[in-house]
Amino acid sequence: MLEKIVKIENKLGLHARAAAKIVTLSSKYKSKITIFNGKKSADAKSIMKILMLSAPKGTLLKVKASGEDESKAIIELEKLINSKFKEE
Amino acid sequence: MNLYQILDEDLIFLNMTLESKKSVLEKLSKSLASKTNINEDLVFEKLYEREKLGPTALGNGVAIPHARLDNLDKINLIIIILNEGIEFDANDGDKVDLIFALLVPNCKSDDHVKVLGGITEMLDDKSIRQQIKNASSSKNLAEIIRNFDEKKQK
Repeated sequence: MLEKIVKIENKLGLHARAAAKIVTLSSKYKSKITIFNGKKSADAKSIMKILMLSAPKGTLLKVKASGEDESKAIIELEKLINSKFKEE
Repeated sequence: MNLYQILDEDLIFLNMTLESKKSVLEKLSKSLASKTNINEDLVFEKLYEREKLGPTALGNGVAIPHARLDNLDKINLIIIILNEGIEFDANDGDKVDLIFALLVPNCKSDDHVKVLGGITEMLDDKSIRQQIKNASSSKNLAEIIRNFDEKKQK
């Protein structure tokens, strides 16, 4: 199991299209991936659950991955979030 | 952010029969235009553009079409409950019958994400989805949403 703290830096926060990008990326991996915002947690392969995290700009999220491709999964997710979802 | 706070009973439409995603977007545009001085065609264009970037259907029969607009002074939530589900390009292939649309002022990105969080949290609950489908009036649906808000705060 691997985990990493990431910060939402894009102006719009974790909105629907950004969440959809997380789902698309996470779904490429076999690992179980969970994203935490404080006490709330979400399966990174479900757009509904990710939106439930309510994460505006500046939110710190914890990403956890466990499975055979966990390190690749976590690196790519961190890249996506740090790239501000390629929207800015 | 309370959902009940942004709710407007005039913008709740129950038992609607609409045949396509396009008719839903038209209904949303018309409803918002009737409440504000924003041009109906502009609202449609913004909603349509957003759908082209990727479907706003979230699974479980739920869709959240949305757009950011200048000249809005607050977040507008428009709810449409369809008699029969329609194609909305959902990833799970399911038809959509619960539409919770958000028209958001350009500067309110944080509130937008918080309201999305509230809507998805409510609609993730199967029993609330069923209650919403069974709502007898706009007032009744507003009550269901208020109950959800109150429970969440406890």
